[in-house]
Amino acid sequence: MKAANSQKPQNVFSWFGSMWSTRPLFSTGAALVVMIILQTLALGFEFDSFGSWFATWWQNWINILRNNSGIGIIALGMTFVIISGGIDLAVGSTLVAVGAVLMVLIDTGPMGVLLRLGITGTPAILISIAVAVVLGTLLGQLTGLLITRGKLPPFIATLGTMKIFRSVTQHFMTGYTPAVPREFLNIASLNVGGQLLMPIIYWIVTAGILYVVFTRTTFGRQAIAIGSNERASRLSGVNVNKIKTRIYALMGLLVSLSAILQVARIGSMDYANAGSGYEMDAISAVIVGGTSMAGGKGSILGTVLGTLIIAVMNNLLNLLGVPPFLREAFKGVIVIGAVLLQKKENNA
Amino acid sequence: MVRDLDASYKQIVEIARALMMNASIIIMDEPTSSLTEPEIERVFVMMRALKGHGVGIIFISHKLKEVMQICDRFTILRDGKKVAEGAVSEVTSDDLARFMVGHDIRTMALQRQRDTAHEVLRAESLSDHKFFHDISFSVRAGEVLGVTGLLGDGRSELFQAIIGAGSDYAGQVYYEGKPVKVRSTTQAVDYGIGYLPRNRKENGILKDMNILENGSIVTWPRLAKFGLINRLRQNLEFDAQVNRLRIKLERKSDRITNLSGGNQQKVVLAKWLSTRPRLLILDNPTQGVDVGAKEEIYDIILDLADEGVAVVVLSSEAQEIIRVCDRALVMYHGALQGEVSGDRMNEHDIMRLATGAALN
Repeated sequence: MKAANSQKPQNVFSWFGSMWSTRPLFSTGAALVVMIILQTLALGFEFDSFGSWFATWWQNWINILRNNSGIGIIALGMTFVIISGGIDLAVGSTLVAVGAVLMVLIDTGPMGVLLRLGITGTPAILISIAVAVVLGTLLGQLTGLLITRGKLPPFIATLGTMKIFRSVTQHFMTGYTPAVPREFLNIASLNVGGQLLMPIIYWIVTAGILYVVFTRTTFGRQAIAIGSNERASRLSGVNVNKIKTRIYALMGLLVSLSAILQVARIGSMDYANAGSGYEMDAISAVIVGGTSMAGGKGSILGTVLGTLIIAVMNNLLNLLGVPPFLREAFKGVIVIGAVLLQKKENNA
Repeated sequence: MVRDLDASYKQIVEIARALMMNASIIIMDEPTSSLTEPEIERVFVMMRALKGHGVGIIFISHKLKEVMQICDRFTILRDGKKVAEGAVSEVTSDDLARFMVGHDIRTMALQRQRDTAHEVLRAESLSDHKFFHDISFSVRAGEVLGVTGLLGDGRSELFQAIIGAGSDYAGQVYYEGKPVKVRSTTQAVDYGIGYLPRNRKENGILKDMNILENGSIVTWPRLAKFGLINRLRQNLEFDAQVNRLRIKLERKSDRITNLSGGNQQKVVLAKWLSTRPRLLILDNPTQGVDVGAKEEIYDIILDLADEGVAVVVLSSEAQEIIRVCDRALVMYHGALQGEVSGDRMNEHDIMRLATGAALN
């Protein structure tokens, strides 16, 4: 590794080779670039009508980013979970539970909780958002406590909460379809320059904040330290249980943001299926982005790239007319390929 | 299941397995290291019975007392070479100890004048009923206290319990004169207690993180304002330690694993020195460290004591204890077997205590 760093690369290929083996995000970035080139080609690039082609290309990109902002936000939290050596399978179920509570609060129908309390308009929206965020954080905190105090393996603890959260939500919400008020939908559908950009903006802002948390704060660095060597971290005065609990609480907080976005975008929720598969999609994005399942290694930027790779690939397969059932297989190939590549890099 | 058995019975199961093979020679490698006195006696009874049936036994042990008790003949190895052999009836355990050490070395005593009136840590009859029993001692500011013994003497467990990283214990610890019970390492850091662990790879370094982060992890909470780590101060404080400890490195952003063992250990030491501890516990501080860096670490330990830090050095190397410590506690099977200082601070006496014998 050192030798590759100090030597001046002789040509493009050796430069590429040395970057590949020394910069952890280089291969991820390269993969994304390849995806984007393929996608551009698939959109039928033409010189003659560049303007209209570009408009289509741009619109396509906005759609990709908007459709993936929810999973993108969850993947950011999953980065903290996985880098600390954990896993969270309950994100999809937490999303449904938080979404359901949110909709019960904001419902404009006869069952709406806030309406019956005489709260409407902006205060109702703010209260319901606050409750959703607090609830998501508390559910995450609960998971964290099961893992730290209860000493359960994260896989088991979150497998349990995954089942509990969804089934309880489904039970109480069967046959109940709340109506979400128009103003609440504005959270996601507010026009920015003629485009529905709000979800994308939430994603970018969250990623920016979490990038700083990850790279610059005690919490972020301690989370990585725990994933790298939990025992050494504890012996260095790191309060491992506190940090771990906070990681899962942060995960819950981000899931609640995603839930708010989803309710605001769609205005309803399918309690059986909403958010299902999110845990695996988020984990895939994190893994493709170069974060190690063993903990200790990874980055926020990598997760954003990983989310984009999977998103662009989905879009590409869609453009190419690949049948939906087959698309999941490509996702699997990408995840396996990414991990195989990362193994190579580590050995280099 | 065998795992539910007591250590001595596990040992006996092992021996039974050897018997079932109709062995005519049984090699027992430290069979008593995890056993208590009555358990050892049970194993001995069995060994005598085997001997009566014509089975030959090779008994590998550090414990001279047991060798004197059970063996007929002895062979002593040192650094892979045979240095002595003979009949046990013709020697004393003193002789055996001398053979093991190789010479009657009396390393120069530390000629240091220290103001060691201020007691930093006092332990009163600490027991966890597993690894250590009824341990009392005290450490004063400006002194280097050694704690030594053989494998399984319980010294690491004792000090890990004291800093809140081990098992719960009975007894009372006084820190700076006040009764305390440290519940977590986080609390230990707040008290100004540092603990450099043994087995650097498992307990000391964060292999995925860079040199700077490995050398500053303990101080992150202090360096942070609203959670944000002050990078300038982080770098300045680490640079000061790099200079002081003469750590050889290329870039602070390199992985810690790029460094040599000695420099890695210095980085681990650096993170504790930057907390300005009042009590510093060093567990096997020169493990996996080259000879040059070893001497440097010894000098640092003595400097720290001169600055008024209470230093505890845990080590199984008697020479190391003699080199840096003002006095030393010797543990045997989780109990305090004795204390040496001054003229008694020699390998021979330390070895006698460490093998369970008393000083004469």
